[in-house]
Formats: sequence, structure tokens, C-alpha cells
Amino acid sequence: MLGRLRMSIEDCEAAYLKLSERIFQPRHSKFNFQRTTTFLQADGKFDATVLEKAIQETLAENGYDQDLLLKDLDNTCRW
Amino acid sequence: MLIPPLSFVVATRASNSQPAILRSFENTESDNLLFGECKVWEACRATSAAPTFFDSITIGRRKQKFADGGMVYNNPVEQVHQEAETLWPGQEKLLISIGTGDAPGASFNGNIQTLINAMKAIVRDTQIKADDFHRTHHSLVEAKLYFRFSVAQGLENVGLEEYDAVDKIADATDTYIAKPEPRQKFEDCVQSLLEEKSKGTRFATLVADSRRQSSVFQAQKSLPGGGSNMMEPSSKRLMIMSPSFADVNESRVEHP
Repeated sequence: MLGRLRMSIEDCEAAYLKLSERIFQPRHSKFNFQRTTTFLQADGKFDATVLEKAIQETLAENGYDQDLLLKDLDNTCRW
Repeated sequence: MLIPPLSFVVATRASNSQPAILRSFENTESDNLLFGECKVWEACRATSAAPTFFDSITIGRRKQKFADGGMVYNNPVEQVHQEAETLWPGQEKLLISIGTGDAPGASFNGNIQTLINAMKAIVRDTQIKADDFHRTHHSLVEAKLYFRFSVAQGLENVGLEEYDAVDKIADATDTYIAKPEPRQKFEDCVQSLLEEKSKGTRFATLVADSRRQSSVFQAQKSLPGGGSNMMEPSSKRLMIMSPSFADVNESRVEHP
């Protein structure tokens, strides 16, 4: 976010706080009546598609294509 | 001349457990893995595909698969150092490594035990890497060109998934940075940053471990200029994203 997307520290932090709440939900948490943090399904994983979607939305919110390449087109000069 | 920040993320090749570096820039001395092919979200997924947390991901026309590699590359400080050396050989480098605190303690139980054990292993690994780097690059430490900050107490009970524990993370980070020893190191670090800036030819690297990004942001805000100082456009910098998509590492060169 800081590097490729040129976001400020403040924007990165705000985006992370928003992203983390969505991403770090155990799968099938709708069947869980306890606090989600004390419960995980057998495979113990978070939902990768939620992570993908959240990243793509962050890209869009910052004016980038959701399939933006990691390759930086600005990076044309030598150092 | 304005040079954009250079970024990379570290992942692991699923087939042979070797490190994979996905870059935003071309490194002529590297394999340039998936350069021009890998998307930002794919890079984020690849570097987050740690065991227990997320599934592996397949990227590119050759269908290369990235996944966990026994949690070996959670603190990419050595990779950052090597990458920077390749890009700017012989130049002095200021390296700042931001850790994410102590391993979780024993207060967890029940069915999140798997997650906790995975996290413990990751955190232990980041500390081992930090210790190794400190030993093997002691001259950088003595020259005040390498600094590592990692909250020593108060984060043992905060898990990766605890997005609602931001207050605890903020408190623990504030408390850590106010202690005499970190404070002194912090002041030395600020001094080095200012000196590098005035010299105009060196660059600084900011490395962050995986896990608990909030403490990383918290620590970055404590840096001179509230972090925004690190972003001013007059400088050339390298930004490296390490395991976990939001981890931030930054390096820069003041361009003559």
C-alpha cells in the first residue's frame, strides 16, 4: 500500500483497520455464537477470496484498476 | 530526478520451498519472477499464504504455486539487505526493521490452538532472523546503520485475528517506545535518518515482519515527521512488502 499504491501512512492504517476486520473472520463464522476469535473451523483457515476482494476494493478506492500489475510503470529510470 | 518507491513481497515456492521475490521493479541480476505478469492482489495473496491462515495461490501462465515454506521467510531483513546491495552496490544503507512483538503466551486454549501455535512459530522465526542479522552485520549496528524495533511486552495476548485489539496494540507500542533503551535507540535512529538525509546519497530501508500490522503503523507514526517524512517526493526509496499483505518496508535514496 505504501510502496506500489503510494498511499500515506494514515491511509494505509485506515485501510488496514478496515481490511483486517473483514479478512480475519474464520470461515463459516455465521454458525458461531461465541466470539469469533475463540472459534475456528477444523481447517483453521481464513477465507482467501475475502482477502482478494478486499485488496481489489482498496485498489479501486485509491483510483487503480483492480487487476493492477505489481510491475510499476513509473519505474523506468536506472539507479 | 524523482524515482518511485521500489517494492517487493516475499513468498515461498510451493514446489521446492525456496523463497520467491515478487518485485515492482526490474532487478537485472535476479530471475525477475513473474515481472510484468503478477498482479498486486496476487502478490498480496502469495505473501499471505502462510500455513494455517490462507490457501496457496497459483500465479501466471506457467501456473506457479506459492504457499507456505515452513515459515522461513517471515522476517525478510536478509532479503532486503541483499536486494538493496544488488541495486546500489557499495553504497551505505540505513536499515530499519520493525518487528511485531513477542510471541503469544499461554492464555489461549480450545480450537484456536492451531492458529496460536502457527503464530508462535512465525514470531520465533522473526526473532531468530533478527538475532542472526544482528550477529552477522554487527558493523552496521555499530555504525548506527541498522535498527530494529519490536514491542517487548504486552502483545503476548493479542492474536493475528484480533482486529478489535487495536487499543491494546497501541498501548503496548507506546509503552515500549517510552522505555529508556528503545527510546535511546529511537533517538539514534532519528539522528541517523537526519544525517542520511543531509548527506543526500544514502538510503534507508524499513523492514516489517509479518503479523500484527497495526503495531507496525503505530511504530512508523513514531518515526520522524510522523512517518510522512519518509514519503517526501525528493527521495529515492525501496519499499518491501513482507509476508502478510499490509506489511511495509521502505528504503530510500536521496537523489543527488
